[in-house]
Amino acid sequence: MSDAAQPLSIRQSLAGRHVFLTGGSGFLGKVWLSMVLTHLPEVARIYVFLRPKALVPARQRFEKMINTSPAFRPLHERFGARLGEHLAQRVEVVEGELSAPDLGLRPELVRRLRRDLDVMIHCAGLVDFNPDLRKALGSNVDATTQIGDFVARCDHATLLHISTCYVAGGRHGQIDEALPGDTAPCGEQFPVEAELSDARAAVDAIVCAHDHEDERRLAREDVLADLAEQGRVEQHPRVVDTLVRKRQRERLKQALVDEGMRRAKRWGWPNTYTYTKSMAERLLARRADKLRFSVLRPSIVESALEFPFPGWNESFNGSAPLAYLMGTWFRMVPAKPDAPFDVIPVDLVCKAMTIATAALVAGRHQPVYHIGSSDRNRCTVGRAAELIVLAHRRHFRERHRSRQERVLKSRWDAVLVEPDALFGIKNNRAVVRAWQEALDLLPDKLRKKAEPLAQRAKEVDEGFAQIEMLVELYLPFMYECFYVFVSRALDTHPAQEPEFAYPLESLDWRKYWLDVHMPGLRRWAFPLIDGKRPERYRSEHPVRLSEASAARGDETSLHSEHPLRAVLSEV
Amino acid sequence: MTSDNPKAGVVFVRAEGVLLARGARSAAAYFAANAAGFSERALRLGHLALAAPVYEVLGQSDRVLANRLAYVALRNMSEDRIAELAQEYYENILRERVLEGGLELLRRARKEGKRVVLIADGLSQVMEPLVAQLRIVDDYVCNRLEVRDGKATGRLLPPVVGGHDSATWAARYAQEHGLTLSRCTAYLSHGPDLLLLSSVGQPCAVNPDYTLRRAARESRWPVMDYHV
Repeated sequence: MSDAAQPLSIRQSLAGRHVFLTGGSGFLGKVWLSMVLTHLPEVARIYVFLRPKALVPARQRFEKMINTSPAFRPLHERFGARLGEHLAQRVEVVEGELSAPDLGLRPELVRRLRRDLDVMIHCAGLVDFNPDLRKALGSNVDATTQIGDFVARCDHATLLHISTCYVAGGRHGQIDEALPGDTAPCGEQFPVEAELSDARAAVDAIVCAHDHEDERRLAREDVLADLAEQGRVEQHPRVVDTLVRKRQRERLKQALVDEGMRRAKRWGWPNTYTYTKSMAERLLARRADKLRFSVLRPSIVESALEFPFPGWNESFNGSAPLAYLMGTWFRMVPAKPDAPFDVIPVDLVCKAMTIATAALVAGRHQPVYHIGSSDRNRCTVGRAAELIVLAHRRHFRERHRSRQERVLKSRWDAVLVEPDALFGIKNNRAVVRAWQEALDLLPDKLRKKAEPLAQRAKEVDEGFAQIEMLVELYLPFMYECFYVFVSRALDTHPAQEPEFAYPLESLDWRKYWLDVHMPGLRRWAFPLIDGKRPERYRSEHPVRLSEASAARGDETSLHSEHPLRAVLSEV
Repeated sequence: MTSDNPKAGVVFVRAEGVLLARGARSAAAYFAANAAGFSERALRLGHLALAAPVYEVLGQSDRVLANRLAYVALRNMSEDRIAELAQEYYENILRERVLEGGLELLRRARKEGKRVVLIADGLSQVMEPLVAQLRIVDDYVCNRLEVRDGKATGRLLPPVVGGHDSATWAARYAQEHGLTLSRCTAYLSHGPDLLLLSSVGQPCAVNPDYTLRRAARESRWPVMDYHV
């Protein structure tokens, strides 16, 4: 805690306040919502913004989320059958479109929010590392611009914008808690408005080019070649047309993905996600005179330390794919062991969000908050990798595992190597390709006999291709950059209430990775990578939105369903 | 957990040989065999193999150097791996090798109201779970690895357990608890324990090695053998 630090009462600051949350269905948003609903009954109203999805209205999505997401388990445990009543008093589910003017909200609601809203927490965003540029601009830039406009037009509302530490881009060393200036990570001037219109023009041009007859012809040629290779030449023309349209969509998406990555790399960002997030921050920073806001930048958000329960995780862009990879037979992971691996448990981020929200309301906020561990309790890439390996070892040595797992796989440690290491992914792929080429050179008779081998080689190559893509996405964070995110702003107003204490320094990484995070990933994230569905929560008292109040257009009313009714409806 | 009546005296017990059928070398070999990566494993095991004859010879006279040699095999191993492997080693190997005869000695001492103090060549990471599970040990002294930047340097922190210094340590311990060594008992099993055995009132050589057996015979100390 710094000398000037003055404790801040979270309860007092947020008592009677109206808070608007976007991204409430995401990993971070859900845990924050659950935490505030469980621990802060003083908050007067929380407007939970959800988009209708695949014809499912926001209200239904919210209901399903509350009833089935394990993130809300503490809420069910605390309120039981009274949860519906509790939510009805405090939550208003609203739907709209974030990238539309006034967020696509109903005019009546807009009027009410302009008068009552105290804080907007903008958690929504596209967190894929390499999304298509069109989507990334819509979700990460346009939505933030609209939200900035909306908050600026409110009577007294403030904005907490959730970003990421990695907007720093491909820089090295200490990254301060400051709003971005006019330069890009590559050191060149970055005219954000010009870049944004340029990016939009590029998107339009790509979309236009993919709608052209030539593109259709190329897609058709591709499809026909694939069908011929699979021995499925005689297909119905309609089937072929459908496949061509699908291939066109895929090619368009890939072109937009490539364009996003190209632009990001051109300016020095590792991926489209950080590039668009940084643009959003820069656009907000230009309105600092008219808008009261803070930017909260978490690092890699990982499994919960305590809330909603140890190990809860829904993040696919953190360490999950890497940790999964290190539990396979693939051993050589390109990384620099001494580089910081900045992970932070989701509940600590949510506590920080709550503290920053309270500070905004109290007018004691800082412009930027880094919520990371590299500055205050550093875990290096080498240590994280060692702990992942040890966690896999512990898992594979369990008594019920197969002999192969217990004896071999538990000892098959992944090791960190240089990207061009002898047994690295590139050389592995080269060997497989040489194998494929050697099989192609066989005489026809032998080649037919070697068909299973060729098939296996193809599968192995596809597997390696996926690993190579994953490794490339993670390389900036594990090999190319050495970031230390200064994380001191939160100390200027530490929470008075013990439940919002921020125990980062006392976090024992060994216990966290071995006993909390890796078991959490194994339970919640790895099944998704395996294409399985992770377990769901089944509340004893499912919350149902009142049909009557919904018909009246009152989106707030909720009630708890009698357990018997739930059973009967299932029957 | 402490004994009811510390004034009844202290029983010093050598862990390896009296209570455990496995020594420091076995633990070091387990750590080496489970180091990160195959080449590291080979190197560390090779080191231990080379050190084995020296360990055997030195073990009879001064185990400090022998222990130092054994634990050099852990140099540059991460603290996290050592902690995890220690837990594994305890659960999979050591727990099954606790000698019933040794346990009986400890229980009897506790029944007599004596403080039970364990002297172990083993590492703190291995001894901690053992002591926690036994619940009849009041105090213990064992070897501790020096760790820098999360990695073992391969050196042991003083006091290094295993040599003649255990007599000095035991005398200080007895003094701190208001006792003299002449009122204490010792169940020890190695050659370097001679000094401590000769300074306590009730010495007993348990499963002694060649050096200690000969000394015990000459000094007419009782000798117990239950080692399987």
